[in-house]
Amino acid sequence: MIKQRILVIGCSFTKQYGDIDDPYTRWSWAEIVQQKLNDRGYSTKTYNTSQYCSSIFAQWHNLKFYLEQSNKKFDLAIVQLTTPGRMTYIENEIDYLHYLSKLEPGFNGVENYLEWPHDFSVSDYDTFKFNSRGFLHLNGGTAAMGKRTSELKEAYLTDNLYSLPFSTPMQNDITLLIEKEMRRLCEHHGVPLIMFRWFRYPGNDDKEFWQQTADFCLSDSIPDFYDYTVDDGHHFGVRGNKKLVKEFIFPRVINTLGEP
Amino acid sequence: MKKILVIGCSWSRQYADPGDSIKISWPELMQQQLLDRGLDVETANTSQICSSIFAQWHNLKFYLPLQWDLVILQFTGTQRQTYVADEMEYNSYLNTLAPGFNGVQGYTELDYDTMVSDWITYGFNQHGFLHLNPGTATSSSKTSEMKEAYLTNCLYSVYANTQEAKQLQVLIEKEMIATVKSHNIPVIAYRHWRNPVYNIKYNEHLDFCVSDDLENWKDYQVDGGQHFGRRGNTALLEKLIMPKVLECIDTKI
Repeated sequence: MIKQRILVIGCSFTKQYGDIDDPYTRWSWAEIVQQKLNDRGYSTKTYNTSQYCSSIFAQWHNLKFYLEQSNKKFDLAIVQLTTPGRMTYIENEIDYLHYLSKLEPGFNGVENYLEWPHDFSVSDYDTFKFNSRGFLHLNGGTAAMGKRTSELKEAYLTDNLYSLPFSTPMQNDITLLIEKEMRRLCEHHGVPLIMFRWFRYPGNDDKEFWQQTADFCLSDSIPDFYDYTVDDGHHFGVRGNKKLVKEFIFPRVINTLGEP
Repeated sequence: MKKILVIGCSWSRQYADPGDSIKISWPELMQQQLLDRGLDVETANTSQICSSIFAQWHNLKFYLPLQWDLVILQFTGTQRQTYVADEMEYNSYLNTLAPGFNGVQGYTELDYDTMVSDWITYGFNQHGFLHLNPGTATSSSKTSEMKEAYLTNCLYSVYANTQEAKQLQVLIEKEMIATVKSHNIPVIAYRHWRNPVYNIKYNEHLDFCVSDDLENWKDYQVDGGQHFGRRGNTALLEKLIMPKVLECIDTKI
């Protein structure tokens, strides 16, 4: 019987990647956490709701859904904050909310671990239209991936060139406001929160600014951070994710959940 | 000399009642009334027609270092967006405050004709910006990349078409109020109109909301955009704004 539920909200940094020398073994840090909890006899269930390239707007939207509308009581939320400058487009919010509940067993089949399947959590970067679950996440990199375009991609590019909230430093201020609101939301619902940042946004390298909301920032906390990245997107493979779990996530999780 | 900063949208600009030849904004009317009381005061009205909450936030950060004794925030409606061709050029424009429509002493505002966005071609106006709301975005059949982006966002983007859009606006409003207070400047913050789809909690951080707190507020409207002419602006001042301004003057100015 499940006694405690863990909600994980992240972006691609919380999905599974393989190490460079072993691309076929892929573990997300969230699945590693649940595996370790199983090994220690905890009756927990982890819901990894992370989607590739998710925006802070989608993370906020999804957090509200899971805390307020999903009919599940979570005992811990772990939010891996995504970077500013991303946008999410949704074809139909009701359909999207429906899909938020449709998590499936994880990549490695760890017991009591659910996540968005890879194919459903990737946006369509070929046509830049909605994917099979009716959403599209864009950032500067993904929007520049193909020659094809769509009204969503055009809107994203125009926003980044000209809209006041996205073409100026205001995007960092908006990101921080939303991060604070996500923290307030968890406090309001009595859900303990671990909130961390993968790396500081290059567009605003002000360490103190970003420290206002995150418990820790991985790129600041791991001296040899880049040794663990497996691609230009700063993703970790198994080796990096194990280190992240061992040194940063798991001690905080155990501290929050108590004894099994 | 005490200085008052006003940040609003069209609801803080000048309109006329039917049959009245005088167009006057409530900030200019306020300045006149403060002068009539013998107060040594200046009012800078930085309101732009159709301004978005993003522009209001940006403008507050631009103007705030200029030493104010009172800031009045008239928050704009939701689902608005501002596009700027060049942020530095836009900031330069913000410095172009000129004498008011009725020439009241000590009152300045952004020039009316050059402050209005181009809702015919939806390109940037002569100062390099474009404000859009659902009404202005559909007032002409012509289009532009900004208009297309705006409409796409209204249809699909999480930040503009979900519950989070109005909540983001409230977050920004609260941040603006907190920012002014953090500079030890008194602030009056209000909403002209609360869209009925939003409940009364939407006003909790405000001093008042005109549509909720001004009796017979619909009688004062001079057009479909809920704008007030001289009569409505006089009532707004007398009932809601001026008592709080005088309170701030008594205690702070």
